[in-house]
Amino acid sequence: MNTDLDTLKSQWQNLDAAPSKADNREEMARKIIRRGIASRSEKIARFYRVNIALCLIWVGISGTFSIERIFPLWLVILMAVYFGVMAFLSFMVLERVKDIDLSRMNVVQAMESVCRLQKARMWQKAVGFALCLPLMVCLLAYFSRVSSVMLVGGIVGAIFGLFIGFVIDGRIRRQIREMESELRDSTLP
Amino acid sequence: MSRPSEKTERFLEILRDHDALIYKVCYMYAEDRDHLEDLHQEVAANVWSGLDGFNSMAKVSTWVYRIALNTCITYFRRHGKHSSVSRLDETAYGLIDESAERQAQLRMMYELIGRLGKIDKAIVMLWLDEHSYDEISEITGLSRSNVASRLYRIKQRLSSSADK
Repeated sequence: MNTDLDTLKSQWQNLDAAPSKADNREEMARKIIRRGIASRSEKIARFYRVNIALCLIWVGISGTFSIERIFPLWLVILMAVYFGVMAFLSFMVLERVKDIDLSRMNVVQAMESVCRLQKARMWQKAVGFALCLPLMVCLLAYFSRVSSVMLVGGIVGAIFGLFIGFVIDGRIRRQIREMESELRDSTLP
Repeated sequence: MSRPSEKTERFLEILRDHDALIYKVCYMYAEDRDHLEDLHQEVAANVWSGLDGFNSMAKVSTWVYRIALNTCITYFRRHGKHSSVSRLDETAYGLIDESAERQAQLRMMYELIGRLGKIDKAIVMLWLDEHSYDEISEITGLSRSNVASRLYRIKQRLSSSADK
């Protein structure tokens, strides 16, 4: 038994793991330095910072809709509440991203923090969907009084967005489940 | 690390010196070549992000190993086939110079390692690279006794597969 494991060890340590060509490596490194390539965490953080900014802008714009009488007041309030809540939830996700430091954490801590982040994102989507639904119904009801083209466009957009969201999230949910299962096993003797 | 040029030079030096190490870890977690390159790039990006906070008294290779493991284990793949077993070919594991019988045995062992959970894979890799139980415990965050018992079970499985 030991001979085979020793062989495996020796072979593993002598493994020439085909390092990337020097030119490719340098090019990749320089892209990272110039911020042409960012880590997943950085991309997620950037996305949510932009998300927060857009939500807050929309809250501001909602006010002008009312002043200009583009939409009725009750609809404007609904939109403002929706975007305000989404801005807050995006901020909570951003805080989770900042908690992750893969260079200092151990493996279990890294897995736990990433699970928390992904769950926060799932919650944000779920709450967003729950709040968006009545808002969409109200908007579509309003569009139907204005123009049938707007109504059709709104329905198509909603269905498309739902489909994309479920397909992408299904894979992420499965990976979270696997990770949590491993974390549970890690506490077993 | 105050000056940008210092940080850049340090980053390039780390990648040059530890590219093989990073690739070894990524091979263990990659499902295919695209995944491998994604992981490699992600590890490099995380090394850059963490460089400002790196304590220069600590061992660089252990620090890079930690980042590589954490990155590979926590990487959520949006696209591609989902598989718990790496599908990289024999050349990825450097089996080409081994005898046919040895190739078969080693391939079986690598496949078995490939089927392990992410944390167990990390433990095995660290053990194969001659890290002590205390070091494995520190990097993984598991207790020393947990590491020892897991490693014992894994070694039993590897040995029994080699005996077949």
